[in-house]
Amino acid sequence: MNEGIPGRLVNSCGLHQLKRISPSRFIGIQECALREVWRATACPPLLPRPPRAWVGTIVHEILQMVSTGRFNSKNRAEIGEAWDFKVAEKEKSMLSSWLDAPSVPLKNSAWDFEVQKIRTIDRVLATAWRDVYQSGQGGPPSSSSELWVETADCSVGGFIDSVEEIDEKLILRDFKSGLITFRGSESTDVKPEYVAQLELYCAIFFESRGRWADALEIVPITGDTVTIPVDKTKCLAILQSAKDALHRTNSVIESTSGTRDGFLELASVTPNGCARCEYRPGCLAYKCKDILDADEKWPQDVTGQVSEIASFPNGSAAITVKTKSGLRRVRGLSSVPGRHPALSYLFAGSWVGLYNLKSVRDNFDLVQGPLTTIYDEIPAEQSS
Amino acid sequence: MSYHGLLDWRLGLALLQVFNDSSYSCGLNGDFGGPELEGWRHFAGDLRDAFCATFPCTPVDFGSLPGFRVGNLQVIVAHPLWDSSKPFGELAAAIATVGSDSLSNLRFLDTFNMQRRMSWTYQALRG
Repeated sequence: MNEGIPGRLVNSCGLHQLKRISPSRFIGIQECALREVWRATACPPLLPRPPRAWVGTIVHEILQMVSTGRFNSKNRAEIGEAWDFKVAEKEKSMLSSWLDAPSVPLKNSAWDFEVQKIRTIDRVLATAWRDVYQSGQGGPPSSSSELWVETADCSVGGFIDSVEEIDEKLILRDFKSGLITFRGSESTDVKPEYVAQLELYCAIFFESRGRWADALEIVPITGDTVTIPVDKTKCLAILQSAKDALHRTNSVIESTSGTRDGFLELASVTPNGCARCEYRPGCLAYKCKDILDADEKWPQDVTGQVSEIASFPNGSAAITVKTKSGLRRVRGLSSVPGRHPALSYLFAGSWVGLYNLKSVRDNFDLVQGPLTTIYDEIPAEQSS
Repeated sequence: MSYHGLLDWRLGLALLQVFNDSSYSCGLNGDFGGPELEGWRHFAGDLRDAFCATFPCTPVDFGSLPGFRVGNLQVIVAHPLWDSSKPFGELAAAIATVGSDSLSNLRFLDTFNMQRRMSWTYQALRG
């Protein structure tokens, strides 16, 4: 996909075999292999990353610093400074992308920015195992942050957030910046993908180092750390599933030689999966799906041919698009330079894709949302 | 002398402060010292207590802010000029005390409506 011309979508990324699968992406490859292939091969994203995801990364990185003993002084100001440094680092990176630049500063775009900052600082200050590390109770503990582990055949591998040995007990930890249970659910069960991820790390650790962990811990930003018992049989079964998923994906890529069939076979078009996919604009399977079930919560996207473009004195624009199912009007589009580079390329008859739109109550029109992205693109039938 | 029931000189003064000073945070920075905010936290706490005495709610504090639980909802009592869609300062600290899994059940009630439309606000929460 062409990342050189902002707002213009030309070709999709190719298909390259995966060298390995990481535990953090294992569930992802089951959801949609195409997305994971593109992510693993550094295909540039086509949609902006949600600001909350950027904040989540900052939370995660701060929590990782705990296991290195960085904040042993229990100094709130020091943790706050580290947070500010990470924010500046991420915002600098965001500004280099036309997709993410509009989300800077994060304190304005992520509604719970301040809340997450306070929670992170509180979590760091309250982390009990950090105190163990500090005081050396039970003998000098051995601790590693971001420890790389991989299987003997290098097919499955990744970084474990934290590995710690206390009193000869080995603990593997994974930090989570978001909700670890299902939203709105009464259940206190941890999301199965988070459990599977840690179990996969546990099996890789065993395969590479010949030792089973004694405990697996998920450390959320709020609430208690959740301990998952080590089920060796289950861990090994998940590891085998991951290896099978990798081989299956690579077999499809090899047998289809990067043809249209390969893209269609690897992709899995689902409302939730596609809503969270940054490659949606370049996904042939998504574009070719004729009718999206109205009962499902599909992303609010509009693709088709431009019928009309209107500009208004208040600085906004509206585009009427001829879609497969009729005319659709999208209004409230910002004409601020840089927000939608595609607006300067589009004309009546152009092929256009508008993604991450918002619906309006009691109105068929769609409007711009904070992550709305527009592409001047080619019709799905003509793309490879 | 009786004035219109919806008039609130403190709120009016706070609004003028907003117009006058772009850095004015209306107590979110923890400074409740101005005449428009003096005693606001105490006032909010009293309103919360009265609300909980009237309706089946359990008083709870969220950080430095009063609040309550009603059914599965957690409710933080806020100043009418605070923006709960981009919380910072005192309000962010209050929200941070609520578990991530409870955020979808978090609501805000402002002292203006609590004082003048107690029954209406309760119905709105229940609805």
